[in-house]
Amino acid sequence: MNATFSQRLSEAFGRRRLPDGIRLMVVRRDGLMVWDAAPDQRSQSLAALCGGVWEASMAMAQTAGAAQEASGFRLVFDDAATGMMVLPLSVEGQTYYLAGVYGDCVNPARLRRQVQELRDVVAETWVAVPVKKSTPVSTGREGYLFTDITDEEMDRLFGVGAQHVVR
Amino acid sequence: MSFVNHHTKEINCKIVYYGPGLGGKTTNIQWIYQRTAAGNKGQMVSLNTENERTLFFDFLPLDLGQIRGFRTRFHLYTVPGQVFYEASRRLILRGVDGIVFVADSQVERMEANVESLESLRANLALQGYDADRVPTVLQWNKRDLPNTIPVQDLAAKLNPREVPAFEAVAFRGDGVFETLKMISKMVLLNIKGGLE
Repeated sequence: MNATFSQRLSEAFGRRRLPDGIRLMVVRRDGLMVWDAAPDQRSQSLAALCGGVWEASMAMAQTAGAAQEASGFRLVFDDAATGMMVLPLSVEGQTYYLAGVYGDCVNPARLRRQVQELRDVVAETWVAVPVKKSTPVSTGREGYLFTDITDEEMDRLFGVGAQHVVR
Repeated sequence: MSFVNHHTKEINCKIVYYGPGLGGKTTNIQWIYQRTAAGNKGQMVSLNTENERTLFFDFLPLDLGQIRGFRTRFHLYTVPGQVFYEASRRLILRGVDGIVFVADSQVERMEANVESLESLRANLALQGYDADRVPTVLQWNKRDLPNTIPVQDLAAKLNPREVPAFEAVAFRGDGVFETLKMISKMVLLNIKGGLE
C-alpha cells in the first residue's frame, strides 16, 4: 500500500461533490478505516461495524448459494429513510469498501445511484502510484520495523500496570 | 494485517481475544475501556444477544500515543465464544495481528478450552495463517474461583509452545493490562517493514 494512500483517497473524493445526507468512508476488508469524510471519535467503530456487516452479508450470500462476489449491498430499516450501503471499490489492485451511512433520506435509490457514480468515477480516474523504492533502516532484525521494544517503553505507552508473567 | 503508514508515522494493529464461551473475553475489553483515558479510546461497540452474550463481536479502538515516533493504534476485538458461532469467529480473525487466548481456569471448562484452542488453530489456517507464527498470549482467567486447575496443568495442556501466559481475574482487572501490554509488544515487534 502506498504511504499516502489515505491522503490520496481524501484528494480523490475531495475533488468531487459528495452527496448530501450521507456519511461516506472507505474501509479495508478487515474493518480498518482508511478514509472518512467526517472523521470523529466514532470513525473506527463505524468502520469495524461496516467490515463486520459486509463480511457477514457475504458469508450469508455464499451459504445461500449466491454469487461469490456481490456488487454491493444495502441494509435498510423499515422506514427506508435510514440505512447503510456498501460498494466495493477497487484501487491499487485491492478491494476496499466504500460505505455510506444515511438517515432522514427522502430518496434512498437516488442517493445510492449518486454514491455508485462517485465510486465509479474515483475508481476509473485513480492513478496508481508505484511504491517508492525504500532504503532499509539498519536494524538487528532484518525486515522488521523495530529491533526491540523495552518493557519501560510499553509501560509508558499504556501508563499502567506491572508485569507478572507466568509460564 | 498491521497497517504501517511510514509517511504519517502511524501503526494500526488488530488484536483478537479468543476463547471459550463465558471465559471473560468481553470482561477484559470492558475493563480496558473503563480504565483508559477518554482521549485514548474510541467508541466501544458490543453486538450482544438479549442476555448479554456476545453475538458477533466487541470492538474497542485504542489510540495510546507514540512509540519510537510512530503513533500507535490497537483495535481490540473479541469473538463470540459459544460453539455455534464458528462462522463469525472465522470472519473476525481476518487481518489479525495478535491473539489473546482467554482460558477459563475452572476444572469443568478444560474441555471447552481445548476445543476452542483447536478451533482457533483451524480458523487461522483457513485464513491462511500458520498459528505457530501468529503472536499469541494466553491468559488463565478466573483464578479467584475455588475449582481452578493448577497453572502448571493448564500450561501443560494448552501451552505447548510456551508462549507468554498470565494469571487473571478479569472482572477486577488482575492481569488484564499485563496481558494486553505483552501481546501489544509482541505484535509491534512482529511488524515487518523496517523501511523508510
